[in-house]
Amino acid sequence: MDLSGKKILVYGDKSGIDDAINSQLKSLGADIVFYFQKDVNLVEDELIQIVIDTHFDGFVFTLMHSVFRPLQFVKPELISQIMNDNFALFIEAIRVLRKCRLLKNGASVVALSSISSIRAMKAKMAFCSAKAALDAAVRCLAIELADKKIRVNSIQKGVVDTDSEKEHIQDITAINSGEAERMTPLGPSSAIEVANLVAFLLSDATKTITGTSIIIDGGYTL
Amino acid sequence: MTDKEKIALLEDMLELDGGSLRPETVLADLDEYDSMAKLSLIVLMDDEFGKKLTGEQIREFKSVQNILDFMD
Repeated sequence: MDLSGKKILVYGDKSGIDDAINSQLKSLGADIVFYFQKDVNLVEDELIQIVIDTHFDGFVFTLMHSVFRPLQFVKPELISQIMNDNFALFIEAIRVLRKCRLLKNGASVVALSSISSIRAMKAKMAFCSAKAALDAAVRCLAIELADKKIRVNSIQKGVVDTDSEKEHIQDITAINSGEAERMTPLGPSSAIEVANLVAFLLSDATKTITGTSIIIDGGYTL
Repeated sequence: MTDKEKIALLEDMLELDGGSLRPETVLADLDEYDSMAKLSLIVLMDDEFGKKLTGEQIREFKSVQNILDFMD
């Protein structure tokens, strides 16, 4: 895969996956602009300043905010926060990029989602719902932006070796003996594998994969 | 927070009537103390007490008193 000369905007928060994506895209020749902001009301002004006169070949959204909250703790404030961090920030960023014509025709957009979007997980309803919203948005944007040959896809990841919540997941698994058999046949994915998938979707290797969500989960959802 | 207040929090979390729990109550005897309750306990410790509770620590809880001690 070759990303030489491609300008890519990465919207993330310097997680382990972000580090892997940044280094992998750079090693394939891409020119990266990194952006982070949790306040959706600041995205428009900031983004316009940061990316002034830069036209992007790709946009990657990697923010993930997952919390374990049984129903009795899922209050409106938590729902707003989880929807904001996993979904609304992506929509706002792509709205601004389109409005200011900062995405080139033929650009590729990749959003990081989760298999939580398509599987039931105890005490993760807010996160599962937010990533399902993200995946739905990806499908809708794919047809809305098809005229400009802009492709929009998401990656539904399972457990990744750098996940900060990995320890927490083990605790939950330890408590839920019934869930223990729902293991991952091939084990956790490495962050670099997710980065490779991002690179593939950004590259010219495909011109027609759009509106889809690609699963990388070690076989968890099988 | 007094022990009484802590027990009220636990009763609320387990959807039990006030006065159902005593420090000496054995957790294994409570139908309501299931896997979801244990998840809730992790969240309660984090939200209300700023404490990280692990699966290993939860397994060591035998009575309500053990949970009260952890809340301190």
